[in-house]
Amino acid sequence: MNFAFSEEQDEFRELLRRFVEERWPVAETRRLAETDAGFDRAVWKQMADELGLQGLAVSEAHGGQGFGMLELGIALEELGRQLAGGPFLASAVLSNFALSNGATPEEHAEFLPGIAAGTSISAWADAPGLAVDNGRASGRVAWCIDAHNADLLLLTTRGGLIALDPGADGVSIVAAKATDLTRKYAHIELAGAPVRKLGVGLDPDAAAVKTRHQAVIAVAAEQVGAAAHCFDQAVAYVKERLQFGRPVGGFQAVKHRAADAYAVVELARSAAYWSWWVAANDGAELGEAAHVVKSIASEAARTAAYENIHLHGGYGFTWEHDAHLYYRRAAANEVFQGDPVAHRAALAVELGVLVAG
Amino acid sequence: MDFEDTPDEAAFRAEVAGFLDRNLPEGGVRYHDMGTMEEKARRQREWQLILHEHGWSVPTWSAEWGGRALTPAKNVIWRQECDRVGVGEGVLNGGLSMLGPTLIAHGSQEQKERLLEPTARGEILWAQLFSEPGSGSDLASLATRAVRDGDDWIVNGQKVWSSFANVADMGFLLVRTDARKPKHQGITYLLIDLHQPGVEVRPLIEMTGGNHFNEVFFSDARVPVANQVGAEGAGWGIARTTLMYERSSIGSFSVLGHFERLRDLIRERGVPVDAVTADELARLYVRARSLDLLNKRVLTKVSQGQVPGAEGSVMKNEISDVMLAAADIGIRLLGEDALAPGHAYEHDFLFAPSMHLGGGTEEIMKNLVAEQVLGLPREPDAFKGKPFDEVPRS
Repeated sequence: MNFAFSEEQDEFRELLRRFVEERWPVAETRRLAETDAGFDRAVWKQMADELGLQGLAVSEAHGGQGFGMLELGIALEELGRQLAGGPFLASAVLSNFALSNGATPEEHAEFLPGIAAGTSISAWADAPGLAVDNGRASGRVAWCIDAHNADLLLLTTRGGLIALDPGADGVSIVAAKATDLTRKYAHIELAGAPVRKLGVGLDPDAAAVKTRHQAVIAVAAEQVGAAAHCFDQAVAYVKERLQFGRPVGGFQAVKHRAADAYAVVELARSAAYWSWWVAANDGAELGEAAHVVKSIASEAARTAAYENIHLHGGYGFTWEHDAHLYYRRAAANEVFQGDPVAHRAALAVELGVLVAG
Repeated sequence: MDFEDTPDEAAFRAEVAGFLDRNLPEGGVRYHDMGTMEEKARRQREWQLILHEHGWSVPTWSAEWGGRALTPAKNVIWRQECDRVGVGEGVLNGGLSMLGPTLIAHGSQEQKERLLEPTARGEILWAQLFSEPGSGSDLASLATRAVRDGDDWIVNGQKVWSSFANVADMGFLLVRTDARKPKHQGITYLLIDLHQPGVEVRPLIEMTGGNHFNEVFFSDARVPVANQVGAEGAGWGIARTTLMYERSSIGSFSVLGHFERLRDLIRERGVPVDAVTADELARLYVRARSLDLLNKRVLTKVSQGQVPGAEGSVMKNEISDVMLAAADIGIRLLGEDALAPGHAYEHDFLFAPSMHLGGGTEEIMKNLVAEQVLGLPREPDAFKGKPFDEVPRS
């Protein structure tokens, strides 16, 4: 048993933290929230050219770095601290998973190099309600992260993975306003849009389940980063804020709130790191890991975001403070790919204490 | 990062499992199944001798003192395998996991040579003599006093919440040796023989109806100066070592076992589980699993030479919550059957409130986390620096 990252992984984290703090701090995320795209193409290119970030978990054969979920988890945790990354999650993570699990090697060779280089942006969503017939799809995908920024749309339908050209006839993509101001969403309407079926010959259900579990684990990594940032900010503030002539962090009622938040953040971090390891090793516990981490990381992100507002007092409730951006993100991540209650129900079935259905 | 056993760890696990399977006495060594306190002590000691003969009595101690200096990872494996067959330290916990490591860190060579081996064999059964009726969370305000008489300390006062003192041979005792100094500076750490006329042990009956703790009264009890650990007045720092070992010992209880017992119950009895209870069970599992992983993270840090911090305090609070939740769910699943006197879940339900009290209350643990891990300001002390005998006491 060894619960430590390698030296290289620790160095990668340091490098990335510096990059994000310099080029894409939360203040920048906040500025970009006012734009439709929500990201700066120049920084996006630096991410690809200087760090190879978009190709982190793409095989070397397709122009990536060939790393796995451990390194991807570190990247998501660090980006999550500043709510940074823009379409990184949609393209380099979710679409990468969907293609890796649900497309053929030839299709990997076709799509992954562009994603890895950051020159092509892809978006992915679960779309079980779509009607797909004779190479045409109709229906609505209510929320798809970064669809309006995408050069390629990937949708997991009941029949398997499909690819669409966002510019094709019958495709309407409308940027959506969402509670989460710092992640961009869009509504997709398809009316007989031409689609291409991917992964012919593969088991579509197995691919879909694996993609969902991986997606949950990836988002939980971001939740842990965001939670840690909120927690650090709150603790720093209560050390300097004076009332009654003392730092408010010296009052036991405040200390205990901080200690409670610390506990859940550290529990979530522990579960997250384990879940990355399970995913990196294609472990049989992938489903269990996804359910566990979704539950605890959501609790940590919500708790830390709330405590950050609360411990900043009225100041934390202002628009100008960043605290609400994390509070919003925590809610959005919580309901992404199944809320914690749904994941705990699935976990209870998997553990044999609840009968399915 | 790797959660699998290394080949070396897998071999170690097989060795431990094989040893336990071959040597475990009939009827096991389960604390709750061993009858009266005297019976628990007798059977635990028999088992400890078997462990000792095979070199397993104190696996975490250094080799110099009969241990195996297990790495944290191997200690986890050792405990997992012991849990699997229901074996714990039971009444020997104080000696094996608190006093022993404290003595290795702070005792004199003569004390180590005289006391560690009989402690490892289970021959000396130890009780902790720290808390007092007037000194709970504010442990350093303790008032049991000791004065020098030639080569002896003469002890007068009272201790309470001493686990297993009614079957113990010796106690590790904190006494006030200088009341004119501020409270932390006038404390001395002594090892007292409990089999002497000046010591009276009265078992406490707790709210479970059972006996675990004791009151211990000292009337001119004697401790030879040879049994003073560390310098006169240096007891508080040594006590903190003991407390750290105590908390990490509580924090290393198997947490997932609480879920597994409930799951076995549901399977064996076919207990119906509704959606609300299923969510509580899943919550319990998520918490326990995450806690188990946090523990492993801390152990990895320790194995890399980092000092374990107040994370143990997080662990103690969390495991207490897991126990409370598990007992609640057990009662919910079984209904009135679980509340029959003597039922395992009735016991757990009644015992659970003590978890957040023993070894430092929930609030003290949170203070430790806030102050020592997060660096928040310490609690103000209006009597800081004042001599102990000028501070009001209840």
